[in-house]
Amino acid sequence: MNTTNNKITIKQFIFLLILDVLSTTFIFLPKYMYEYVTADSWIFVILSASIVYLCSSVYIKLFNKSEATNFSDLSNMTFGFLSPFVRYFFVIKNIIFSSFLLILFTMLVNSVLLPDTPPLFVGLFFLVATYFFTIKGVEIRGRIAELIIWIIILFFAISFIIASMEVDFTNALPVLVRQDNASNRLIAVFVGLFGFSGMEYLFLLANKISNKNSLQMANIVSILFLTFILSFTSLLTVCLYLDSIYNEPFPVLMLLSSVNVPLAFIERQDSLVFSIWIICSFFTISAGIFYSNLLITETKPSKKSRLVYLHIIVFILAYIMYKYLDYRIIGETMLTINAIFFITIPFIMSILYAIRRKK
Amino acid sequence: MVLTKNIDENIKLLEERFKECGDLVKKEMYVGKNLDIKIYVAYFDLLTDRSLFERAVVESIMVGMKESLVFLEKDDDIYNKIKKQGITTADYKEDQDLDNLYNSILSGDTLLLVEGSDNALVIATKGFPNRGIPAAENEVVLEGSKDSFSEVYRFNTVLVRRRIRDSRLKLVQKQLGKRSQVDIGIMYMEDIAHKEVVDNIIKSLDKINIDGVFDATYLNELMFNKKSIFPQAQKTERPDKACSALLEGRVILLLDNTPIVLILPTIFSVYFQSSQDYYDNYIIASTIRTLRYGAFLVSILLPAIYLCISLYNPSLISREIMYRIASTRSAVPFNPVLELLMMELAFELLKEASLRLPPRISGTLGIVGGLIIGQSTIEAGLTSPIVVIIVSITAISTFAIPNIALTNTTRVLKFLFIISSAFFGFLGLVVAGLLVLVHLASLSNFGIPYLYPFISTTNQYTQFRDIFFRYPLYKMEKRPIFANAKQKTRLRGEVNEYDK
Repeated sequence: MNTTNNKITIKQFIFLLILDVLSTTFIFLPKYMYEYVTADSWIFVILSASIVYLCSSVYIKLFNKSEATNFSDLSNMTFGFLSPFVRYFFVIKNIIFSSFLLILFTMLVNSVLLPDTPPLFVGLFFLVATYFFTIKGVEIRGRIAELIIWIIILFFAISFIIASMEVDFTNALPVLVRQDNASNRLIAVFVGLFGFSGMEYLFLLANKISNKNSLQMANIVSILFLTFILSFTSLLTVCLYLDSIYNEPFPVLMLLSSVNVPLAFIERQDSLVFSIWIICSFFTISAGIFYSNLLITETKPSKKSRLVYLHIIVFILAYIMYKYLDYRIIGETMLTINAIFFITIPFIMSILYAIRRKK
Repeated sequence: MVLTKNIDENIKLLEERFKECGDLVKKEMYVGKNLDIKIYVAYFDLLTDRSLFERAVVESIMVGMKESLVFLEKDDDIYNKIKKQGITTADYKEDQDLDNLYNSILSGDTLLLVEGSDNALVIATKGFPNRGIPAAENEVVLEGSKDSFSEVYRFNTVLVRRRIRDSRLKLVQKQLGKRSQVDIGIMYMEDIAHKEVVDNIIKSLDKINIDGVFDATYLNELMFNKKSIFPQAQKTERPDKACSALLEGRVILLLDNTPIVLILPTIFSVYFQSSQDYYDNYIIASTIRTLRYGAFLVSILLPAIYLCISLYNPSLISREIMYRIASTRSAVPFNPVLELLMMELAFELLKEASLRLPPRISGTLGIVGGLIIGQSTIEAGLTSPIVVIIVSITAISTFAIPNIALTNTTRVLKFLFIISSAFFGFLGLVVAGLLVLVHLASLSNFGIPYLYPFISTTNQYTQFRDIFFRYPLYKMEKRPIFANAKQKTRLRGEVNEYDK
């Protein structure tokens, strides 16, 4: 009657995509961008968004034109015998990215919220919680996104309003005249794509929508929303901190820490941003595992759920990153891979599809 | 098995079945020219209205038909004569099936067997002791009707029929429980309710195969496979609430021997609606309803928030408040988690104990438990005033929720948040909240998401008119999601045309 049997509505698609993308990267993005384009970073986020739109719309057009049933089907049509490699690369990439997000989340929680709790204990707790969410399937994911998005919007709105009281927006002026280094600008546009890490889940969500005709519109709305959030966060953060942004380990998280709201009995307004960040991390970490499982199931259908194993793998990888590797370098590498994957796949698929059709 | 034409054989079968049932009253009567034609009546003592039995059966046959029975021979069609002239009540039926006849006697009907007939007359003479129509105890309203459903199934159907005098109000009757064979009625508005929902409810009831069903709560657990701490069927003792649900397109289940009626399908927001909301001015009702939502959040979150602040992040609140809390806690020898859990458990014990006591004594218990013990523990330095305040506010908020099932849910749910926050502070609080939301989002009730209209496949903005706020009745033209597509409109025409 009011359920859609493993399909999501257009509204749920938009909200789900937003929450799957809006993750830990929005906390770091302004700092990353500032390095290359200083106070103009908010403009470069918009430029990155236009690339994201271009790539996603190419994929959607191809998906609609090819009449493929899902990403695996489309990859079979285009990559042929190489298709399983592409899919398993996608799975591995997602799993490593989830592990990175988990360890990053754990370290941040450890340093900001729970300094005395062992980080791996925190990570395990969070992963168990995401497991409970991941097993629910795409329909429940969509339903939760539909619900949570309003909490996120409300918290962002309050945060933005409170932060705006403190910020001197004239710090962003003059626009586009501070940097004349073209390579820095190009790098900034590429770094801006880090903020959209997770947009590649669109490839896997496209066939889950109940009304395929509205896919393009949903894509535009999602990108617009994300662009607004990322760009405005960058503007606020950069205008507030300017060069001292380098001294702040988590500038966006601490955005509201110094703001005093008259008559408020809550001293630390940054708890609002913390809540947004925890909720978003809950979505993004589970997203990597959920979509990997989806992709494996599309490739090799099985009645047995592989989610437990995937969660264990994510935990082990996170542990290895924490103990033996520099997770920051892995993170930057993963964000780069995500961006390259998202930019290239739609175009390669389109070209291969066109070649194969001509044959 | 069915009856035979031999009355002695039939009586033997019946008495064999009810062997050692001391409360079965049976009587053999003889009529006819030679007083050799046997009539047999049987009923259960006090399950049957004796005066009705005397009037409708004994008197009318033995006195009213005396003249016509006295000349009868054994070969005459005595059964039909009695059926046509002897039974003065319209409420009777004929049956041959022995199992049906046993059930009828057990339900309070009188069985009448006549020699030479393989049919039995079942005369409706139900009339057992009951407490009449009581006043609502758990869903009290200041204005509006005071009557409540009772344990007598038929009284309950009457209470509904008196309010909705529409031939499209249908009642499907069934019996539930292999041994209890209790009457259950499925009531719905034929043209408003979703046929699919009604069919699914009947199907789920048919699937129930259990010895006995003694309360509507049994159905709540037997009909839904999904395990949840949240109530999945709305319970009410108020006929006005049940009737309002029927007119929204929902289905009500009335079960004999219980004053509680189940309303299906259900969604989360209905647990915040009270009958009083519709008897009050809509602005007042809306204000109170939003207060209830706030009370729900406070009842599950407040103790956990206190733990987050006192254990992990004291800098979250203003310094003045923080110092006050710290100073009151300084002499307490327990960890804040232990202190809070002890007080919460003490309060739950107090609540549980007062439920079992007569109302006059429970008041005293409240004073002794709440005031004297509370004050003494503070003075003894075993707990801080802030914890007592938090536990009290939580308890008061719990009682502001108008549904007892949801109230009980919050009583347990708050412990999940307390434990989660005790281990992981603010993170635990947010994650526990997310998990509860995930669970709620995964629940559906006969095809409707439990969190409707917050979650929906359609644009449902008009459905928000009775969620956080109650819009004026003239603005609520549309029925909620429960009604079928053809019957979405409930209010037609201009309301205030004389006001212009």
